Amino acid sequence: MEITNLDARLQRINEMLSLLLEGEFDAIDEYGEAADDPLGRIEETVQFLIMDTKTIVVANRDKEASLLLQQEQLATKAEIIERQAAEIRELSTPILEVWKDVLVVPLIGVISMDRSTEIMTNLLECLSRNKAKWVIIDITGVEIVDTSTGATLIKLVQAAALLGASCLLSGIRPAVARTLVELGVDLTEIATSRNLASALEHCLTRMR
Amino acid sequence: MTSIANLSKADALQLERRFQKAIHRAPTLEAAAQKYVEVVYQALSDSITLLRLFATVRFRDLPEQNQAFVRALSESAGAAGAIDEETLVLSLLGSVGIEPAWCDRRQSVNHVGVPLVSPSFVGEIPMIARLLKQLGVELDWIDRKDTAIVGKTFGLQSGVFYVADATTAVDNNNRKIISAQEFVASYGIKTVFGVGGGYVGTPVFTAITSFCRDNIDEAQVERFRSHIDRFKAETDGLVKQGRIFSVAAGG
Repeated sequence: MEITNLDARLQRINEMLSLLLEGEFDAIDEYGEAADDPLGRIEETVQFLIMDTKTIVVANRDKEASLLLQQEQLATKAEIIERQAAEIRELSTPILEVWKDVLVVPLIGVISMDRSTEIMTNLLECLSRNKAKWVIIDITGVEIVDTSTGATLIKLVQAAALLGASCLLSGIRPAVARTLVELGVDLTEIATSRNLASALEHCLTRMR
Repeated sequence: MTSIANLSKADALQLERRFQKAIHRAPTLEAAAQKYVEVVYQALSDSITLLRLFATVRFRDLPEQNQAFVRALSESAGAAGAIDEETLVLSLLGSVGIEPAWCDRRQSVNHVGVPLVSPSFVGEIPMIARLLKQLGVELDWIDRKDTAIVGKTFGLQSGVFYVADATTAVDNNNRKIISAQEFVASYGIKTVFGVGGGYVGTPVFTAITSFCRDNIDEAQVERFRSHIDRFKAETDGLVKQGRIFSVAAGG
């Protein structure tokens, strides 16, 4: 079978393959009908190769773009979560100056390792700034304690003492007291008060 | 011509390449859509009664005729006030079927465009709601009116819509998913399926829906997923250049 326009058609195949290799799919104009001769079969195969490759390339590009978008979205969410966590940490470890020279540290919820570090840092910063003489650590809002919570309380008292402040522990619930005793946490060195009001009263009396 | 059930892997690949070649260099997404449905319908008309291709298009980018249709549809549903220039409209871009009227998207009576104005509005149209849900398009962004988010997330979505038996399938509210039961009965529609996918970085999501006279397995439907990849490969540039309709927006 005679192959018409052999040179021109081979040239065209060559051009199309070059565009394929360069990923320049949009530069490929009409594919045209494949001729009914042996070269036509090759031309058609090249067309299929280009179309299949283009589909895969575009789909992969989309997948990559999708992954980038997902990463961006995840990063944004992670930032939001981190910011909210910081805000929550800050809100969960307030230190209040309720009277001249008297600070109150109300503890609520579970005192994790992270939180105890946060509380310690905040308290020491506040003490060095305010030069307060009394610190009331109120644990009315603490429902669950363990040895680590007990250790945190002791460390707070010791750290405050190093900066010249006396500590009072107030608001110990009966269940918390029982657990601390059962756990063998020694709080005998720490002055305690029934509640925040009596602790404050104690401080004011001692300051007069 | 053949039926979908008898479509071999080689036939399926050949069909994909045929339509891809046909839509290569199409001037608009609409032209590509019409060409796509025509080529596929011609090959599978033993099974397919009606084949359509939809895409989400911003209201402001619709031709005037489509805008008028969408306004009228929204007014009749008491949701006219919810439409603005940025509202996405699931628009019919290509249509072909056994009735001559189905071969011209402009002659569609009910499906020229469905505005995605609220999850409840879309929920009133069980097939569209199911279609979007199964294709992975969540609707929670609608109330936020945040098409920028849509543009970012649509490209992440793709999926398959499948209703094994159009006569019996119901949604959670016990409504027929294919609500046009007269059409289903008259034309002996059995399986309805679709495939869809978004164009990354744009609010355009395209969906192909096929109403078939055969019972078709979900596994066979899965094969049509690659249609979306090929269709997108050829039309990605058109979408990014905003060449959607043959008639200019508002014209």
